[in-house]
Amino acid sequence: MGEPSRRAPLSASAFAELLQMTQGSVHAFVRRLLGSSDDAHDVVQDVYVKAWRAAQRGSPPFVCDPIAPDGLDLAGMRRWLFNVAYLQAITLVRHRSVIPWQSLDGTDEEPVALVPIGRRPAEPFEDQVVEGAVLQAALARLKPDDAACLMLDIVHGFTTAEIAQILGIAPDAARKRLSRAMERLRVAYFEQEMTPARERKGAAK
Amino acid sequence: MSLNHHTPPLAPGPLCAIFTPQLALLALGKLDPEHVAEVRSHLADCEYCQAHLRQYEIVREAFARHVGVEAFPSPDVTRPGARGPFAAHAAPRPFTLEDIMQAANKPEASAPTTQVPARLLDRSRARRRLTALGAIAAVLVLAVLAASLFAYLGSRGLAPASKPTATPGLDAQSQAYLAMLRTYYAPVGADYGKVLNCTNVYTGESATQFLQQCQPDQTTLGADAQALGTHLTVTPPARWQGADTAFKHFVPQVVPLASRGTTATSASGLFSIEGQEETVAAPVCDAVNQINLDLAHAGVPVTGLLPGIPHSYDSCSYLIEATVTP
Repeated sequence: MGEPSRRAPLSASAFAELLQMTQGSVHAFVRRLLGSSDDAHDVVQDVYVKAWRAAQRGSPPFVCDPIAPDGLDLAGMRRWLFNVAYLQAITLVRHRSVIPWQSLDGTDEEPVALVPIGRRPAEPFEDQVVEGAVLQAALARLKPDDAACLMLDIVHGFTTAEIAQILGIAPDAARKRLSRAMERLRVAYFEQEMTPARERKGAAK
Repeated sequence: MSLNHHTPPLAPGPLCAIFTPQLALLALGKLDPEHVAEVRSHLADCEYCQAHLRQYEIVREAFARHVGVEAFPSPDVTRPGARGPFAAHAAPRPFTLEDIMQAANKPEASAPTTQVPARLLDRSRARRRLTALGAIAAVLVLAVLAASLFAYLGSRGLAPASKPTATPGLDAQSQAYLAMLRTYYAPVGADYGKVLNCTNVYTGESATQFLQQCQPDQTTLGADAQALGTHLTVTPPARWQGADTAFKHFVPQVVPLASRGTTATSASGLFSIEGQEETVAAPVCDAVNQINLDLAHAGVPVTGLLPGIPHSYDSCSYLIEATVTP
């Protein structure tokens, strides 16, 4: 079996174009998962450094692809970027997992105030600020994996197969996760009676 | 327009259990084409599913409106005085190829792709102010993990019952309340762990397999929660009154949920119920953490602490993950 022919590495100008085209959406995706623009900035930097090194090595998908119409596998590169960004962000979320212990310093020790059952916002709901706040509170109750799944679908427009690749799961599992995430978001959005007030306040920041 | 206007009628039709799990995917445009016509045909005559679908659409539209892709600020609005692309406190600005090449010229760590940059972890640690309080937290983390492990092993009959005897430093009322929790709350915590574990293992498997494997855990959870509820008659000490209230709110919510879980006819139905079970357990996590903190201060040994309620990414499972993550 002959050695597969090497394809030409991505040129610097093509990489610069890719960077310009995609970093905004990658940053937004990571920032949503991490809740911090600064940390997202660092993760994004790291993602593109890895991508640049991959491009330097001529590793797919950062190669000139003669099969692709414009010579570049843009969809593949975008999937790769989101995949690495997701893995970095989710790992960081897990490393940060002791954050609840911040309450030990005494700054966060007020008792959990439950909103009485049956209480709903009485105000009209047209106001998008309110809608945004309710959504943020609901989103704060989603697992990062669920939130990532929904973002990849609704915001970034990936197909189920692409979402599965990015999250590293089977397509069927991706479909189930999407369905479960939507259901959880719907429940959290419309049934907030049991949300601790402190939690909602924090989520609305 | 009010949220209440979107609440679906409480009486689903006989076929709704079959179709409602597919509505989320339909709203996202991710339903398999061969199922779309079938679902739409049911929707035409079913107000319950119409309302359900409308709720998904509202949530999806709100998501699209409020969770967009934010544009980076242009370089000229970067905070004055900030130097270089990575200057501390500078507003994030888009990277240029030069930025990336410069960063790439630093030595490459021989690390897997998923390794998080050390600077991020350092910053994360700094934020947590893990000074003296951090040391206490670390001890408690170990304690909670060990207690969870003991409760789990105990529930499987793999370890001898490790019910501590009277705890020095606690008054009689606290001891009585604690004894009740150790007997009746600890199994509930272990049940949550089993539910989570089962879901993780069988996500991606067939719906039938998922239901067969994971529904029995709902039966156990319901029974253990019911038992806890009937024993919440012990008067707590004043400082645990809030925790007691959280337990009392929790039981009447989780019992019917678990009951519904045992009869769920679809994987997405059971997923949904598990999500609601997580939600109603969140205040209990806080309550248990508060009690464990008091116990640790009172000198209660590791095996005497209460197990958390493990489910993904909530405060209780954070404690466990933090222990196993170097």
